[in-house]
Amino acid sequence: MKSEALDNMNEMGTAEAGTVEAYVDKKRYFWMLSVFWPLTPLIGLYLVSATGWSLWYGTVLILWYLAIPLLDAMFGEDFSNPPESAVPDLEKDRYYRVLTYLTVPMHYAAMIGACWWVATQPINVFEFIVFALSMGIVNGLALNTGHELGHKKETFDRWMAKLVLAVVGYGHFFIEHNKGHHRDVATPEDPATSRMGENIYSFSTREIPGAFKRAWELEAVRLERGGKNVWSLDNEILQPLIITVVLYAGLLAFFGPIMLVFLPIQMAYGWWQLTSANYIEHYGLLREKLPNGKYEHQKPHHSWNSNHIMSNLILFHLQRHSDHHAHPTRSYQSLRDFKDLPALPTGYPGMFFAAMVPSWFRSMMDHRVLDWAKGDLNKIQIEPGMREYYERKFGSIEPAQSVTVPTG
Amino acid sequence: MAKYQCPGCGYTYDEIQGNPHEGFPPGTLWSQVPEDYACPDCAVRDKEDFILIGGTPPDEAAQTAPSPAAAAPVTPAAPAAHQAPQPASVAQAPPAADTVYRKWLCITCGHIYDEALGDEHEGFAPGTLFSQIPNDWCCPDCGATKEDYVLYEEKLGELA
Repeated sequence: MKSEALDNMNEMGTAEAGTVEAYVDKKRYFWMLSVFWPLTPLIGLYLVSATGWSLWYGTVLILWYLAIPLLDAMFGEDFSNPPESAVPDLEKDRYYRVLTYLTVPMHYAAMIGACWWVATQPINVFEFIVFALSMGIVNGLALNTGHELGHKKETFDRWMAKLVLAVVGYGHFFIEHNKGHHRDVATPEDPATSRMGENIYSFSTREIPGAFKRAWELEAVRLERGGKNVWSLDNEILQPLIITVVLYAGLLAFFGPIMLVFLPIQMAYGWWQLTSANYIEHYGLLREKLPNGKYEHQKPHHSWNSNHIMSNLILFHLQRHSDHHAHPTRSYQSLRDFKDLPALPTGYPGMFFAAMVPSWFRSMMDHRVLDWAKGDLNKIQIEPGMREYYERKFGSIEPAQSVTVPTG
Repeated sequence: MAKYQCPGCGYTYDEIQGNPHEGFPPGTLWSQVPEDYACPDCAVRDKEDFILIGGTPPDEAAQTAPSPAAAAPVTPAAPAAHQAPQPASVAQAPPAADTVYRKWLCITCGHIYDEALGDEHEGFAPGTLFSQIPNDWCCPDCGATKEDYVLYEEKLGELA
């Protein structure tokens, strides 16, 4: 049933060009997958209690790392775009926005339900770890929800973002991301852009502290301008941090010392999901420096894109990342595909998994980066110390002769 | 007091209102905003990219600012009145809307298509109106679609 519907959607999407009649968003109701996805750990727990098989503790892991990549391969990519004339109505349609609001309580429900289970039900060490990692993945997606909400201009949306980011203890994200990462993306100044040849483990040691530092500095500048103290309640990093402390303290008080183990594991793995996303989203890409010392504007080809329909539907279109970076305030339902974008071979879940095996990830991505740069290593961000390796490996490829002579 | 708009996302800085959340109290002039300030909504564009869309900046008080600016929302409806290209000199045309060549701004990358100049490399002779460009044409700089272009309003003073 479901697969048929999705297939239809793909075909109709690609045949869309040139139609005049009122636009119907084929994905409209499928976005509910993004809303209910955070509840998968609870579904897993239900299956555990129904069947007694401890395998179901890993429901999220199996879905995320195995089922979704397979479905991505099966259903393939959806290249359809809403016509520009339909976009104002799409953007105004409250339905899409309400879905993102609804996702916020889902994360809280999943968190509280999970904590209740590990505190009260018999669970062995192995099951415990598998389940904590599952929660980590789902909470990594709290960052995705917070990402969508944090880009909105309304105060309510931004508060919802703070609320949902607080679940995973990463409240500084929407400052760091909106004002830092989006400004510096695909430049050496950005700790959240990975270099070609950099493995995800060393990237994380640069990205996690770098992101926090940049967020704090940006917030300090903003507050200083308004004559406020950095250590005031106006600090939008401290606000969600306070929510996190209250939430985690409450969980600890309610569910006891096991939380001291469970919460850090799921939080760390939640952060790891963000690190994975940042790692794959701009791997190796570089904006050119202009004669005036500034970088060229963020264009769609400065982000890796993925049109894989299945993973996009559980991620609020996050993978249409090229358009997102060129138009950060566009809502998820209006994000478009463009011609000739640098494209990932599969959706984020599969890429996240591959990223944890550096040689595998590089074998998939390095030649794509090189194609993107038309063979010119100078247009790529390369990990220091890896340049010689890449020159040996790709040196035989001549930089493509540009057809039109570039001015200057 | 003047208003300035981010050409990327449409955020408008109104000097009358300032942006207290960002630390600019009402009445803060655009010139007082730090030079390296990035658009608070999208961070894709910097202060220098912002376009004057209304009101009168202090240094150009003598000039009339453009009429109520076409706001950011994309209005792909190209002027239908233009049927034939008019390669005649633009300079003498009075600044009434139907005789002036317009400029179009790619909201993705800032590329400007100037109807008066056309785009030789793309095969559009000078005077080719935007409405005459095929609908499947893409931005030569970034690949965005024709629909991603918005009318680019300029200060009238630059026309001559």
